[in-house]
Order: sequence, then C-alpha cells, then structure tokens
Amino acid sequence: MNNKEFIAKLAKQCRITAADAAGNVETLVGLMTERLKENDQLNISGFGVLEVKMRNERLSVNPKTGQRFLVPPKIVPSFRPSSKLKDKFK
Amino acid sequence: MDAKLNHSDLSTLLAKEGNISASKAEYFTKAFFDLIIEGLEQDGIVKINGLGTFKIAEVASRSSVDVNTGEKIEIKGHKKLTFTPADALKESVNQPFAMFEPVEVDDTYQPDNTEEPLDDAEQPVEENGRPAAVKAEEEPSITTEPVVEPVADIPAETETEAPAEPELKEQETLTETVVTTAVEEQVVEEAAVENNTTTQSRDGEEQIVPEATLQPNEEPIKVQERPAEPVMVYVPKKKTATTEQPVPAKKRNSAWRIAFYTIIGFITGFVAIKMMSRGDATVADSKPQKPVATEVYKRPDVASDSTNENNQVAKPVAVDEKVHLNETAPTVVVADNAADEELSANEEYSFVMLDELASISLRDITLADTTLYVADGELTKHTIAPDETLTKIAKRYYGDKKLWPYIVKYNNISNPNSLGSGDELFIPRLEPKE
Repeated sequence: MNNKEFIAKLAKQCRITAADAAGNVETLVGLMTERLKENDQLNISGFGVLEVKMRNERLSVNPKTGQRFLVPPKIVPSFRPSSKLKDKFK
Repeated sequence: MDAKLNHSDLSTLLAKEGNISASKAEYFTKAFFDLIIEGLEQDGIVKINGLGTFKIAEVASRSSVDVNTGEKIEIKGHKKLTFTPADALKESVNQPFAMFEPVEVDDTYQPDNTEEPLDDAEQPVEENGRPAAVKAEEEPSITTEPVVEPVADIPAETETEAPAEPELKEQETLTETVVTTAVEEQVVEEAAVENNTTTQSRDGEEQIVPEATLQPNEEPIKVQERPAEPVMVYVPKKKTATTEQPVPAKKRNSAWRIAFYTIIGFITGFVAIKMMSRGDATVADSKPQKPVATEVYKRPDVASDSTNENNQVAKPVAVDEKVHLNETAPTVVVADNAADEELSANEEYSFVMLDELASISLRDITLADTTLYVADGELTKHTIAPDETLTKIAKRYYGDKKLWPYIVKYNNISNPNSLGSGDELFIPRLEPKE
C-alpha cells in the first residue's frame, strides 16, 4: 500500500478530506521525526517502539580493492514491533 | 530529550501542532497505526512518505541448536515485520554525524578497542547519542583536515553530493566513492556549517550526473594525494578513551611527586637532625667522660661534683678499680697502660693529663673551639687498632672527634687516609690557646 492509498484510507476512516489527512500525516510524521531527533522513544502500544540507535564507527574493507575504511559513527532510527504484532504476522 | 512517548503524548502533540481538537488528534493517531497494521495484513507492505516502509519479510527456515538441551533443532521459516526508515528521517536523525564520511585508512591503523559496543543498547544511546554527537559536530573541520589536500577547482556541485555518499555507494563502485569522499571531506571542511542546510534537500537524479563528470577529473589527482597516515577522525567517540588515559597518568605523576617530596623531606630532616646533634654531640660525648674523670678524681670521701678541683691525687687503686667499670674511659686505660711503670713516679703527669681532659670535657666544645688549642707536646703514643679511625682516637684522647687534625699535624702525616692498623701515632697534648 503506497502513501496515496494509505492517506485515502485514513481520510475515509476519520471522515476528513484527503487533503486534511495528508496534512495531518505530514504533521504527525514531522513530530515523530522531531522526537526521534531528540533521542526520544515512541512507544505505541499494540504497534511497537520507534527509537534511535547509535552505530559505532567501524573498520570496513572494500572487498575488491582491499582498501580499508573507517566508517563514521551514526545514529539510525529503528523499529521494534510489539509482540502482539509479531505474533499476528508469524 | 531521552523521553518515552506513548500514543496519547503523540496525539497531544498532534493536536497542538495541527490545530485540531484533542479528541480528533487522538482518533487520528490511533487510526494511523491501525491502518498500518491493516495495510500490512492486506498487502504486506505499507509506505509512508517521510517516515519509512513497513514490510513483512519472509525468513527461511534454518537449523540451529536448542538453547536448553543443546540438540539440533530446526527453526522453521516464518515472517517478520521490518521497518526501513525513509531517507529524510535517516538524515534528520543522523544530523549530528552528517559531516562525517567514510575515511580511508592505512594498514597500520589499529582501532581503539576500549569502546563499549553501543549498537543494541538503549541506555548508551540516550547517554552518548546526542551529547557525543553534538561534540562531533564541532570537530569535523579539525578532524577531517589531514585526510585531503585542498583541491580548489571543485565546483559547487560537490557540496550537494556530501549527503549522497551513503546512498550512492550502493550504485557506484566503491573505488569511485572513495575518491569522491576524499574530495568531499575537504569541501565539507571548507564549508562546514553551510553543508548542514544542503544535506536536507536531496534529489537522487541530480547527483549522479555531476558525480560522473567529477570522477575523471578527480581520480588522477586523488590517487597521488591520498595520505598514508591513519586518520583518527571521530574525536567524540574517543572521548571516553582519551579522558581515561590522562587521569591515571596524572595520578601516577602526582603519586611519584608526593613520594619524591617526602623522600627529600626525610633527607633534609635527617641532615637537620644530624647538624643539631653534632652541636649536642660534644656535650653528650663529654658527659660520659665526666663521670670517668670524676671517678678518677674522686676520693672516697670527696664529693663527686668537685670536678673543678685540679690536681687532686686519686689513689692508683681507685683508678684501677674505676678503670674497668666504665668502658668509655680509655684515657684512663691508656694512662694505666702507657705509664704503668711510671705511674708511681709520674702520677702527677698522668693526672695532669686527666686533669686537662676533665677541664676540656666540661667545656662545651663547639666547632669554633677546635682552633683554640695548641699541640703542646707529646702526651702519649698510640698504636692504631684495626677498624679504628682518627676521629675515634681523637675522641678517646680529647673527648672530641673534631680535634683529630691536631694528631695528624703533630705526626706530620700528609695523608691521613693512608694510616692503617698497626701504625703508631704520637698523641700530643692540647693546651688551650690563651
């Protein structure tokens, strides 16, 4: 289901216009991004946990040339599905 | 900051931001997530712009070992729910580290193994994620510097390519990206802060073309200029490691310093005590002398503190008796030995000596006083015993170690160190200089 369909469905569900739904989705996503930037954890019960994780720098090798790299550390968003959800799709 | 938000918190925020009622916001957020689940059930994939893609992935069955029994077990194939964050989200979240690009390292580079792995732990993310990252942002210009030589003729296009790096790696070969990263690092360094704004806007198509044109230009240059030395780029990560090192070093230094100063203190105290005791030594030395002398002088019925009385004739017998009692009275012994035969004849002689000694010993002889004597004539002869020193001899005869030069001079000895056991010395009599 792509974005368009998703928003359409959402609009239908909430009985609002698609434009409104799109706007709300954008706001919501923006909020979530902001929270994640602040290292906050978004724990949606029945759904899962959206959080950020730190990846340390590491040595990596280009398999072709054998050239070694130092990959910089980074912060990545991650999602852990709740057990309810996991069971649903097992 | 490091907070845990739940569904209702999110809806409250939405209500505020989106200018909708709280109940509507709550309903919306609930619907939002429910719909994701629904979409997954239906299609197995849900894509939300700006957030990411939720997908149901198939996991193949694999053979493994039962954790409890240890016997072989097959983990059946199943599905799992995956989330792939959208590029915008990834970038926003990684903003503190946006400056950094992979860096080539030499074979000699050894990574620091003192860091704890932070990958899957929640706690460290909260502690180290942002605060460390913030520091990183300040450092990039310094840390990326050594890697790349300035290439002035890079067009402005490269600035937009900095964020493209992680994505384009997949598309291009790694060698090419290596080249460009080296270039871009320099650019990043030059326009450090400005890049932040450019990282936000991205378009994959735009970047491929400029990069293609860039490659042939840069490759020949970069190959030569690639530095050999390893680069320790990411200072904030090393923060814990480096901060640990100086501390023990400092502790070590200060411990050594303390030990050093206490030793010096001991030495100076020692010296001070020695100096002081030297001043007292003469008194102390003379004191044992005193009882000897008085004993020598003392008649059975005479008071012992009449030491100032001179020329008191003590009985030889008394002398003899007292001689052996006090071992610090070699003078008496000498008198006894040397002038044994003469004693009767020269009683006065020997007792004059003792007399003098007594008078000497009673005075507080200080270093200044050592010049107040004249070696007047021969007193007696002394054979140096093994392990006997001039100072010991002086102390014996004069009651004062410091008076040994008189002996040496009297005997015309050029090198006092050459004296050995068995040598004969004439011990002069010392008269106070008047």
